[in-house]
Amino acid sequence: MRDHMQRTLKDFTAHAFLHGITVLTISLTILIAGALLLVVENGTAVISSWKSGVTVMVYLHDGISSSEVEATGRSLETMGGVKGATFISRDEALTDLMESMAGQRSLFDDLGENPLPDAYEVEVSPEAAEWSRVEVMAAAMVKLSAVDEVEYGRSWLARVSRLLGLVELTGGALALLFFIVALFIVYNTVRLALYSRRDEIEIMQLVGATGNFIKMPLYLAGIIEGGLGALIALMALFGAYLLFVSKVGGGVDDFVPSFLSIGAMGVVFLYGIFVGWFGCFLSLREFMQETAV
Amino acid sequence: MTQPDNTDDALIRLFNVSKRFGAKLALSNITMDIHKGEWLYVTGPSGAGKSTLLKLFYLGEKTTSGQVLVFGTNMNRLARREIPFLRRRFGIIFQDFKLIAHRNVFENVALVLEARGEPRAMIAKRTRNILRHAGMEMRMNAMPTTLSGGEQQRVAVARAIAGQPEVILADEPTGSLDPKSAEIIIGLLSAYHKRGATVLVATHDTELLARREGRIIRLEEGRLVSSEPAVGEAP
Ligand SMILES: Nc1ncnc2c1ncn2[C@@H]1O[C@H](COP(=O)(O)OP(=O)(O)OP(=O)(O)O)[C@@H](O)[C@H]1O
Ligand SMILES: [Mg+2]
Repeated sequence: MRDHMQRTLKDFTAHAFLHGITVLTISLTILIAGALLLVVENGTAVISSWKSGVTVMVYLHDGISSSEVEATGRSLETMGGVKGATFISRDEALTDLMESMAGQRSLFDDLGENPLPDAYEVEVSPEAAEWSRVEVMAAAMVKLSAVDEVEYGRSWLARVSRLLGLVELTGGALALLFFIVALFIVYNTVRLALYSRRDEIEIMQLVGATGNFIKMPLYLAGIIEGGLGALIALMALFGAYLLFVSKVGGGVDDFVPSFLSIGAMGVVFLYGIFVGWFGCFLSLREFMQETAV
Repeated sequence: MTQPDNTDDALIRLFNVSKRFGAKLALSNITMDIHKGEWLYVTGPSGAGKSTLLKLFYLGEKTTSGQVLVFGTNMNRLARREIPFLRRRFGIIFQDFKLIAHRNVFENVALVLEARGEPRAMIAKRTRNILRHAGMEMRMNAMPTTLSGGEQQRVAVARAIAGQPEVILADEPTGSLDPKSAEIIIGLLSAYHKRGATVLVATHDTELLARREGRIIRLEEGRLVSSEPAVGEAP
């Protein structure tokens, strides 16, 4: 193994330019895919923090009995996707409203009777906080006899989840594209190395070298290039992230985007290694078929 | 010793072997034995099939028909993954040297041992010894292209011997060399032969053949036209 490593390193120094270019291109493709991953990871975090706060306001008809109110509360709580329902009486609602508008107390002076209805604040469980599901739930709630009206943050919820879906989709497509690009690059560098060393490989075969002996340094080179490319990409991405956070961090809702999780970084690194290995594998398979001994 | 007819020590046996390249019949119906420890010249005009014959022994080429037995194994039935191990039992000196151009003399010779997975310390020591023996120790770090033909041939011989093979296949080892360089090459092969190895030399070097040391077989247009017994002891 040490000898294979030595041969690999020797080859790195001998073909420094070719290997350098390969590492750089791999890291570039990984950098772009990694940036998308970063966006998706943070987007998902934002969405899930929002999702955990999704509520539906259920307004009740005027003048219904307290037993009806309680029954409605029970029906709401047992509904699928509901985490809990809190009753807010019309008086409480008015007090809250007046408190929140303390500066404009005069507005309430000639209000006469409280115009607000009794209501339930229904908390949607995070798993159910999908736009389509909330829509269905709201439709079911409005069918309850005591319920007058249902209100939920339809617009932003729909927009944000649609946006994230789009990012995930394009991100996935781009990641696939870059995977193919990176694979193609490794495949071609190995091919170039193989064909430029046809004679050398033939001689090795003639003096009794096994297929593994010939392939090992190439595989090692591919794996090292892939891993190195991934490391460089991660470092560059981290640099860009730090820059971004220092410029605009904490601007929106105290939300500070986090860097890729350890797990995601591990995946990116393994991905780089896989690309290097697989590119080698494809190239070698083709070459060995062509030069059947 | 007359024409060897006891086959117990036959290292390589050919039965009705033919080799065809397209329409060209390079070897035609050859039957012969090669014995352990012998020194055999394969001669004949250019294009007679000398190189092709040697290639059959290490599966550099496959026969078109007939059987080749090497170390008791039928070459038609040797699994592909066994080929490297077969080749390690041969030391091959190629007509065109086949030295790796971008590796220096030391690396070219050491490759044979590296491919066998020998320990590094041993590789360095043995390679140095062999190069000293071949008179190439001073040029150890030179690239093959900077060497003279005779020097390249000496490196090729050193590489062939490095793995301590049972059989040496030397294809035109003195082909383009002056008499003095040829003398050195034959001396090296001869010394290795004395240690018990079998040596096969393909050549049309008449001076070499005039010594009549060893057995001579002659090919013409792929046919085995004569097989003369050795006169004296091998060189
Ligand atoms: N790979 C090949 N493809 C096609 N024809 C070949 C091939 N190898 C050898 N031949 C042909 O087979 C015949 C025998 O070739 P070979 O190289 O064995 O001759 P040789 O006796 O070694 O000649 P020389 O003394 O010139 O080296 C020649 O006619 C040659 O053209
Ligand atoms: Mg020849």
